[in-house]
Amino acid sequence: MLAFLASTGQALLHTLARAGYGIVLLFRTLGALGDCFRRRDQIIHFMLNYGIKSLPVSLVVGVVMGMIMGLQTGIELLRLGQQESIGTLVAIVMCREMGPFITGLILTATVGSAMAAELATMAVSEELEALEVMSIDPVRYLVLPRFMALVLMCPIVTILVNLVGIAGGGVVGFFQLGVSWTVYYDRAIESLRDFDFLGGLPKDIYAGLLKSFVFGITISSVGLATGLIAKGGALGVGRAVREAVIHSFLLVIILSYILTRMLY
Amino acid sequence: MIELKDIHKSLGGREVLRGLSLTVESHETFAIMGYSGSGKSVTLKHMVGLTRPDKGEVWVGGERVDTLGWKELGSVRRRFGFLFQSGALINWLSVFENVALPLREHTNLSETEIAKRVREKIALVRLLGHENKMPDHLSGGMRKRAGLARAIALDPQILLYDEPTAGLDPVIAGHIRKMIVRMREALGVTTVLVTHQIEDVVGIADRLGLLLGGRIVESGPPDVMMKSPRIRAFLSGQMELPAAHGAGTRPIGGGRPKREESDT
Repeated sequence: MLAFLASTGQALLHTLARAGYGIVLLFRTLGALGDCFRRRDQIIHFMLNYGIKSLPVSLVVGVVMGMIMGLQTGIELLRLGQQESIGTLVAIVMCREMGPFITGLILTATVGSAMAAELATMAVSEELEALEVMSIDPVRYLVLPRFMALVLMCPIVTILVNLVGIAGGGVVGFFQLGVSWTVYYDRAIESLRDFDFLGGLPKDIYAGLLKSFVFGITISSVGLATGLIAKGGALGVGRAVREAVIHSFLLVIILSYILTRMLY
Repeated sequence: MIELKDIHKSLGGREVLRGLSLTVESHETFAIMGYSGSGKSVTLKHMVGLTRPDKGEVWVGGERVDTLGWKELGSVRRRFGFLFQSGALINWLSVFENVALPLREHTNLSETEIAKRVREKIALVRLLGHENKMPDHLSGGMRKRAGLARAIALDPQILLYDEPTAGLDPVIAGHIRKMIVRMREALGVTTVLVTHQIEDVVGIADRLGLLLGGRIVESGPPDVMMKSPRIRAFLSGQMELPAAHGAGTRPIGGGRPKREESDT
């Protein structure tokens, strides 16, 4: 029993220490934002890299999710004779929730894991120490460009996922439910015209983009922090990647709920 | 120029250094010998502030470095070049980019001037023609030479070598030894190297220190030291390992130590 309590306590302390490190790293990264202009080439390089890595799978998942949503809701709406509302439902669900959520999960798997692996490999092969000896701050040189690239890329990918998701719903509406393109499109646009206080921007769109922005911060912070403190050779790299993916997944899901609760 | 006073350091529950004291004079070449895990690398890392002592003082050029913050430590570190055991090249940068890295980060030189300086350093380590290769495409010896070119990019006053010939065949190891001598002669640097191979010491080092039980137990000119019974026992493999050797090191997949733990 004592051993169980001790190991549980140790695991809890370990998790808290990691979370603390992640938060400190986030603040140190925010403190280094002044270096963004100097590191713009690196930021653009990583944005393209992350975009290429994540976009194909994001778009495929986005369009399929839109089709599934269109089909599932469309079948029920058809029974009620309300199939023309399918555009409203798909557009709102994609922009508010599914677009940012899917993007968050895919970026966790494709980019967050890669970030953790890259930095963990550097950590276990003395490369981070080499940077430190050269007086090169790993936060400014390694963390900041990757962080900024993902934070900027996440909303961009989300917008594209939203678009293809809505288009996917339209395909199902047209071919399986007999909803015309014009009606579907009009309903989708109309549903997103819930203008709010943010300079007259449609709330469903900026709420979704705000979520994806927060997800970008979360995924990059977790991936980078986990990679930086990796130890123990190849085993440590594998462990870092696994932990980065699990923690990012959980945080994306939890934050998704919290942000929805706050925004609606 | 470099002075370590009564350094104590515990890693993973094992006291690696127990009151280590040593002085390295300017332009001197000092070699530290000891068995694997005796704390040779930890001693080097104390000199550049990669590791801080639990007790004791580290002085470089009349300045105490173990209490300095990141910024102050940065200016001290720029006096050092550090050749890591693995070379520690940044794995996504070519040889040229690796050597250019400290110049780009710490100087305002034009790209033309940087290219000129980089080629000079690469020529000094006899790697011309390989500057566009990635670290993955280099042999162990070439990686060390590239690491050395990077270490001397900012014309340091002190060069630290961590096991410079470990894992190399006799021919390449011989080249690396010649390079250490050439660096000293060409740049007039103070040199500290840690090794467990007598060939790295004889004809290269001005003084040799034997690290045993966490402290330098004997030091002197290599030819004098070669007559020491302890050195002879060490070189012939007849020396008894201390009972605590290896105790406290972390098992694979075991608990999470602090960052410094694995590097003894």
